[in-house]
Amino acid sequence: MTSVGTIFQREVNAYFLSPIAYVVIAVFTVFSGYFFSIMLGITQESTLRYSLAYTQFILSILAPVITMRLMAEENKTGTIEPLMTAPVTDFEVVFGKFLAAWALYNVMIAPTAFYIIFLAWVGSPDYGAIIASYIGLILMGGLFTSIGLLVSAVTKNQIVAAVIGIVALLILLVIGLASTEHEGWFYNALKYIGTYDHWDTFTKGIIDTRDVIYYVSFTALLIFIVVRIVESRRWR
Amino acid sequence: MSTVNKKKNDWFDQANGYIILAGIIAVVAGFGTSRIFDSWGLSSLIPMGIGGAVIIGFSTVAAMRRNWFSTEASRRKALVGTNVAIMSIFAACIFAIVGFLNNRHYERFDLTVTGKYSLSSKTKNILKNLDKPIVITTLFNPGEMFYEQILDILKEYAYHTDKIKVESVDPLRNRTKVEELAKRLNISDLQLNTVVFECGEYSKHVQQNEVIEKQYPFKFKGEEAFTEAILNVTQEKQTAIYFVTGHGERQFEDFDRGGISGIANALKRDNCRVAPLDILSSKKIPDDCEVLVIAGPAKAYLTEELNIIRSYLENRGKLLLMLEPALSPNAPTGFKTLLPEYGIAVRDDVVVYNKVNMPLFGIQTVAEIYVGKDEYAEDHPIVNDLKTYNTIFFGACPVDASPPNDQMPYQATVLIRAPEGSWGEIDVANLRQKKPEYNIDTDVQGPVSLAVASQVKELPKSVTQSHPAMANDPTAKPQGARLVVFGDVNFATNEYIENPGNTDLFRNSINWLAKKETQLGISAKPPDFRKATISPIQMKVIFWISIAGIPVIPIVIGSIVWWKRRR
Repeated sequence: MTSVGTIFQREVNAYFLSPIAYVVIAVFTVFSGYFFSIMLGITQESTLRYSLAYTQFILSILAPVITMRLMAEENKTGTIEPLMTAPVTDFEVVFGKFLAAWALYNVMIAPTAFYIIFLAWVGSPDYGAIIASYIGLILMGGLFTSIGLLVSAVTKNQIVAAVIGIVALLILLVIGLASTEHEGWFYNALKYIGTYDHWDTFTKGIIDTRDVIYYVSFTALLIFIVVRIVESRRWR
Repeated sequence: MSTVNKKKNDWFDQANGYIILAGIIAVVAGFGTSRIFDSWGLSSLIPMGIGGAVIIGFSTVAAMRRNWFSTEASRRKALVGTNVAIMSIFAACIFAIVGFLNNRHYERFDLTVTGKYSLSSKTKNILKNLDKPIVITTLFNPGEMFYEQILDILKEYAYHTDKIKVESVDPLRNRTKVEELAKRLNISDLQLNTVVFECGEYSKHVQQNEVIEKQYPFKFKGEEAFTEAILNVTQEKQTAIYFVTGHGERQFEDFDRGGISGIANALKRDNCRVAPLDILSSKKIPDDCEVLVIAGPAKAYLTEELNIIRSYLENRGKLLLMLEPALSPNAPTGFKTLLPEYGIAVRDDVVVYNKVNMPLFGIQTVAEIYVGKDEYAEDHPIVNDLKTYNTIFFGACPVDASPPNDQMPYQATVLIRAPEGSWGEIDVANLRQKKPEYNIDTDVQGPVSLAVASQVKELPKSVTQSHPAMANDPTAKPQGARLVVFGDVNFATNEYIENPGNTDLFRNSINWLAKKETQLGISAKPPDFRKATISPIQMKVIFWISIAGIPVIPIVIGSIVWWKRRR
């Protein structure tokens, strides 16, 4: 097994052998299920689009909870030091942890597949739009977990990591929302940085390369910065 | 003395981070203010200046007081920190460049089953050929019905051309912008829940009720209305279309099943002006006539009228002729003599189609002719985009293209053929009394053509002289006449116009005749609204399974894991 695989397995075990994964998944399914059924009742339309708009908000709160422990705990307990001296590169450490958090995120959203069965029961959903929504959901998860990972890397306190991560994701959501009604390079830049507009396109059933590249490049940027931060500890 | 210093150190160490943070906030706030008001004033420059000075000053003092660069360890720490910062900024710059390029070069893939967010080929053609910038402003309260759909579709317009700029204004929250717009458009009372299209000095307002049919089930007609508005503001001149009257033709003001008001409304949406024309009283085809439509003549045209039409055609005329197949063979319309001059041959028999499989009755012969992708011409602008749509004709007469002839300045092309199994029934008189049967000796064997388009060829002058209409004028030559002849008029009537291909076949014919090639293609179709029919019991089941049933699964699995690990 590669070093990334070893780190990944270690982190996944840590998630699923402790209550955190199950609690997070249960909380997510309660809220997303509530919004799904309420929106289905209000709109009477066999689509996931409207309920997924709320899902982004819920994920903005839960994704940092998934990642808060990853680096902050290592920083606090000092286990980061032996990890740095182990025969693994900084990138492998960071990427393994990122993949583990992203995997938990994807397991967390998996139960929403039940909603598709409900939609098929009461109408005929557009499966193309649903596939696009899930591609967006998975890509967005990559970004959210990398933001959480970055925040976790700069602090020793898990609670602080979670709170700052939530605030950062909500700011990204809000600036995207607030700038949709304005024009000009400044608002266009904010719109691009914000998560709202990119996610909205996927929920409609459209795959736009701008959104895909946004998620992939933003995630890569954040992972790069986390690697640099971890690397800097080696030299201090 | 040392106590005082220590106190000072404590104060500085404690507050330094917060002061620098405040400086960063001031810089961001100043910059944000400048962008919100779109100007660099004192309100933005002062906080940015003070914030910048605070950041630099306090960072420098902190670095000096902590001896960041005096010992080997602290110097290395500072260097590592600087390295991380520079690398991060460098990576962020790459991210920004990728984002910039990404916004300029991109692709979109509509994964929805019906292509819900894909614009029609006609709209795409129009957008591709836009040469003037258009500003579209939505004046909608965000809570309004179909507001989301309106924005979605306008975004698609903007995606297809950089000539369109979409701006959304909430009229209740942004009165100033509404007033500015009203002033710019010179309108005293600008209505709310409107989409305003502006192009130069022209503007067009699309009201909410033009976008939505407020009858259940609600229909969203955004694309149709918006494309029409774009045509209205970009085309300075309307296309004049005259419908000939006086021979029992179908009327564009007739709203009954047999009328053609539906098709006339579709033409109006394409920025056309429709008008009736009595050739006998006007004695000529009006000079502004861009397309002459003859919709199912029931009586014969006089020679004088045919000569006026002939003269119009020789002078760049454009004719759309739809013949009435239900006529008795003894009542000729007169076009049988005119059309061969343009390479078009019309026959008196009626096309019969015998391939309809009726439940309990087996294969039946019907007058309705179903035209699918195999029956359209392989390559003609009128039908190129129609091949995924069916068109229905009702009892057509065969219209064919004459064989190619080097002496003929016009080239006719068959647009549509009747499906396999059709034939031309000669015994028209008894058609209503008995079930038609194919008679190999008398009837016309398929394939039977139903529509023909004809236009002038590029030929040497010597050849064009041979055309009968120019025989007496040595300088005359064909001027670019175009004709489209259908063997049926019913396909364009209100009864059949809702069928997917029918309207577009008619509109494409008009646009091809008027040489508005950019407007050819498939028109907007009603959007795909997937209604859920939910009974109260189903709603309860869905609600409880969603908020209680599904969450129980991770809780149970988590409990088992916890229980096993505890042991």
